[in-house]
Amino acid sequence: MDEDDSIGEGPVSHRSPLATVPARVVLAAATGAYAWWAVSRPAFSASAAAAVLAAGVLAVAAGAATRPSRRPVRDRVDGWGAWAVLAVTAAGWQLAAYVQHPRHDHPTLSSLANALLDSHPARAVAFAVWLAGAVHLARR
Amino acid sequence: MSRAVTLAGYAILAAAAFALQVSGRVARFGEVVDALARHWPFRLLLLAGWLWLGWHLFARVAWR
Repeated sequence: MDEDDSIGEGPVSHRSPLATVPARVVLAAATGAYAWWAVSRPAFSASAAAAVLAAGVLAVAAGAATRPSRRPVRDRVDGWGAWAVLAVTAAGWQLAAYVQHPRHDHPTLSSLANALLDSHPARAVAFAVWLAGAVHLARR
Repeated sequence: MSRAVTLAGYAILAAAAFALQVSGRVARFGEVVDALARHWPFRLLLLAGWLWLGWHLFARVAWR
């Protein structure tokens, strides 16, 4: 076989165009800019709801579109009952706090999150993380 | 319940979740989510719940 015959027969890359470093930098910058804008929408407004839900649905769609066709998943999950008990207990604790007032004395997870995300940068970062979570969850 | 008791409850729940996650005796949280996500109704529920969380945290809050 001539040497020239081997040209172009190396491992074929199947990486997504979005996997390149420049593309990721651009995507991260665009996500950050959008997050900054989205969290500045007036609370309880239609524009806020649209900004959040449109981006969320887009992130879910992007995750679903890049979902691996075959992903190793254990057939049997040991100890899921412990997680279920923990989830029910957490939901009960949250509900007990929710139905009591004043909120300061009975904080819910939402009120704690709001206190934590009380600045524009923190809220924008949290929004970007939420979008990344949507992509990640949809890829599962 | 006072604020301290409520916060202590959340802290205990977080500690319990961390203990389960690192114990190695039960499936990790991600494995449970993966197992649930194999069934499309749960998968749909997970994604809908995630979208609701974002809407609740970022669109339904007057934070300024």
